[in-house]
Amino acid sequence: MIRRTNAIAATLLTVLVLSYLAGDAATLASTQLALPNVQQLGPQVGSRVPDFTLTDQRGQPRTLASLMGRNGLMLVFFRSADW
Amino acid sequence: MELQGRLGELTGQGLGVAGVSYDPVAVLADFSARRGITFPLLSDPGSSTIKKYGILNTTVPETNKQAFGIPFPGTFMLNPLGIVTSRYFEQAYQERTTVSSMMAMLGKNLSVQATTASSPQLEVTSYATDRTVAPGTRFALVLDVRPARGVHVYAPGVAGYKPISLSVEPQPGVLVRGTQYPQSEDYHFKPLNEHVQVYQQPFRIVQDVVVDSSPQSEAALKSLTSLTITGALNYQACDDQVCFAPQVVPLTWTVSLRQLDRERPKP
Repeated sequence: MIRRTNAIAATLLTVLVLSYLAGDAATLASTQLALPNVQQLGPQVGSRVPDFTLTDQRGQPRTLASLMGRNGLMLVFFRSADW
Repeated sequence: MELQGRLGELTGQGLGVAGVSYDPVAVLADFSARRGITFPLLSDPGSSTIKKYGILNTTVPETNKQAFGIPFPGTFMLNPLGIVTSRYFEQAYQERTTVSSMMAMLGKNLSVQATTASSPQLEVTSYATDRTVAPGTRFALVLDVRPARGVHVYAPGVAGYKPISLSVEPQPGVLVRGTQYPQSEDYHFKPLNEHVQVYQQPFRIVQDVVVDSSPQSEAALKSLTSLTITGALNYQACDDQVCFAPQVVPLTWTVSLRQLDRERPKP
């Protein structure tokens, strides 16, 4: 009798785990759908980027020209420094 | 910040470096001080420049006060006229392409620890672009190949000879992405009046790899402090007289593995 209860419990647990995994996969799939193709966003190779005037960490206004090196510029967009 | 570590190499090659985020100037000043950042970090209040560039992360709802305004993180390489020469954006937000791997893809030289394998026909110097990686790190395995004088190897896609190919063993926790082979050159083999695409000058193969940050791989990586990736370089080398037997060069790359950085600014 005890064995039988264990078997039922194990089956229930399996079903629960499987439905959890299926739900997870569904969430993942919907997240993927909402994501645009980032490769197609923003200025592409061969095009000129927009200029800007932004303040740096020392309070100085900076433009593309003021950041540019002799051979170009590596412009990194990052998420946040705060989190 | 890894970028700071490569700053000297980048500026030494005449490149300016700047970062942009929606953070207020005070946050950027604090971050720079804590991390020793010396290149400009630019504050983009209201994310107006991020929007102007068309890279605002539109999957974050405006109701999410903390995260709304972040970009899809990525890097533009610009020439002195402000024209994009290459760009690196991640499809998955957990992924970060390392600066060192971008430099490797751009053909720049990196100061790294490398190992060199030699055969009579080829010298192969191999290294990982980064010494330390974490879940989500997108880095590269690099082969700098130098054919011996008068020797050529065959480019990918060539039929009738064994083209050069890098293979990486699959393993849990490591996602193996694309392999970048350089432009090949035409070789005219006069006795057969045959034209074939080859490499005979020093060239570089860059293998894009990512440390898997998915929950499934977390268990595989959790107990590790380093990752060893194995692979092989297959090729056939010929000179203008003979073709040598196809070769297999076994390759190994070892990188330190750290867990994700959860550092928060001090209040």
